[in-house]
Amino acid sequence: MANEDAGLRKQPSWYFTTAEPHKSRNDLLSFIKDVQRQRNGLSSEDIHGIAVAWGVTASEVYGIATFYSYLGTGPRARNVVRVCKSTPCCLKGCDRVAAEVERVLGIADGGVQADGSFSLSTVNCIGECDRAPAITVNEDVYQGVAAADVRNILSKYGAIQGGEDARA
Amino acid sequence: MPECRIVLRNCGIVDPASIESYRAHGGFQALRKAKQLTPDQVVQEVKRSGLRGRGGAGFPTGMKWELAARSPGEAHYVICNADEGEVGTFKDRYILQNDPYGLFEGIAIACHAIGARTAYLYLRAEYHHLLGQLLRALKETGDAELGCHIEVREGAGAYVCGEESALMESIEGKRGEARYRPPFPPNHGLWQEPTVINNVETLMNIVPIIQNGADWYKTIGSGPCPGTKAFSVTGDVERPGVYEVPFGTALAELVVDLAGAVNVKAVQVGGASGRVVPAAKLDTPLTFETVLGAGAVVVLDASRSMVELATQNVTFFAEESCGKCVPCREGNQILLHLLTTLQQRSGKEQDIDALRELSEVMMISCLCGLGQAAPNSVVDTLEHFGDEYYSMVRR
Ligand SMILES: Cc1cc2nc3c(=O)[nH]c(=O)nc-3n(C[C@H](O)[C@H](O)[C@H](O)COP(=O)(O)O)c2cc1C
Ligand code: SF4
Ligand code: FES
Repeated sequence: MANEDAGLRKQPSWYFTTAEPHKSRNDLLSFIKDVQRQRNGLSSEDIHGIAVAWGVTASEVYGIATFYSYLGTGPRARNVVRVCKSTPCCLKGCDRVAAEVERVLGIADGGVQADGSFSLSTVNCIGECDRAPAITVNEDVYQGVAAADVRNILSKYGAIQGGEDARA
Repeated sequence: MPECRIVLRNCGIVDPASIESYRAHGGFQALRKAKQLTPDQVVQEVKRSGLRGRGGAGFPTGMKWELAARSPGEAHYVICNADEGEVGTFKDRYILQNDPYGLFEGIAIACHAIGARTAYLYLRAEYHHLLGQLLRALKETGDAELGCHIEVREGAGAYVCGEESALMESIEGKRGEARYRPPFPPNHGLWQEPTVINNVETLMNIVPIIQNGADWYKTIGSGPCPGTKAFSVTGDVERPGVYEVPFGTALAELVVDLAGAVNVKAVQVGGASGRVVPAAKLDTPLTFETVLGAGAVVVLDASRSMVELATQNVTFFAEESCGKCVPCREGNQILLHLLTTLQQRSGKEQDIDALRELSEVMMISCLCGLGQAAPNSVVDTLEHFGDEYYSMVRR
């Protein structure tokens, strides 16, 4: 707790470089998104820094960051894997795809690899179920994914370490 | 009945990356025609067409425009709702991908009609992959051609932001929580100014209505629901995809004849909050008054469990509830708990009664449409497939 408080008071390092063009309150959401992208996550330092820069309370920034599923506090993996788990994808075997991602990456739903390369979350419909099941990696969409495709898809984003294969 | 393409008129015909191609197919003629009419004439034509909102509620579009146009304010705004979060819907994505210019033209006519200079297109975060193409198309078109400025705003991942008041909060850069209403958006919308918010598909109807007239439009569809509806069909069908049919078409024609469903047990129409129609009622006509929502159609064959379906739907709402009001925030958790208990074969008959009772309470007491509609599939599967629930009770 004490450490976190110290972090909150520290001058945020990115403040002077990124603050200028966003000044209207309306841009706060997209600004938080930008910061998260640039800094690969949102630390409490970032949150406090944004609040100072925009003249709002830290709790308001925190409230926004925790409301939206594409935002979040804490570090973010370099590659974000999302597997749709809504009914149309379920009917086409998304469970098997999710299980294969878990196996290949060695993390569970909601998990992040220790080296920060990949994270996995199961999500609700992403509007790609004309060819279910669908997954996304970062901003790329893959439709009609079979469990057998998973390793190929993921390896486009960098070396895969830590999964069951790696341990075997 | 075959498909009838009004909303999807340009899909697969116009090159979505070429404004020249759009012009060559009659692009911007309706906008020019609209500009020669007074704003009120445009509003009256849309009103006479009987066009109703395709975002789920079926509210008369012309009436909404009239209210906003007549409402005093420093500025008026048009919002195109491209948040498309309903489970199993992708028709708006299909339109954004295949006919961006047609959408811009519809938005521009709406701006002319209500006296707005700025429009916002709220794009769900999941559709970020469409952003580049949309911005290119917007730049190519230019504000001068449109007579207004269209700005794209991206969401950040929240189903409830598809709800109009939550969406406005989100454009204002805040948490996307629903507002207490009234006041309604035509009076106090974005930044408390008069605002028209319409679904992508609704706005796609504007160009053909202005071009061909309200009388022509009313010849298509069924009584209080003129025109067509674009459906997103998924699940146990041979040919999933987007199909556009006139209102009043029987559900069977859509799922069996067009999409190739076999061995149907039930169809959920309208996403996670949609109504569940058993196979015996496949002759149900597709209208706002029967079943519809935004037109997500999920087909389930004989191998599927209805309790599982309801559980998946409730899980969705438990996750997506914004948490502002108690019946929704707590109610969905309790529904989920009751359903899970049943699925684990440790539930009692009273739990099924509790499901019914809680569903009723949520439907009348939740603040916004999310919570009010969340128990729909529980209620419907209990009604049509009650045996499946009772067979799970611990004996
Ligand atoms: C929880 C909830 C989610 C909604 N999601 C959407 C959506 O994703 N897209 C949409 O167009 N309308 C959605 N709506 C409906 C909107 O609130 C609003 O009625 C609609 O955008 C109005 O446009 P229309 O009259 O053209 O249908 C949602 C409503 C609720 C209650
Ligand atoms: S019904 Fe649910 S989503 Fe709507 S305001 Fe209440 S808690 Fe939020
Ligand atoms: S249900 Fe998976 S993309 Fe729609």
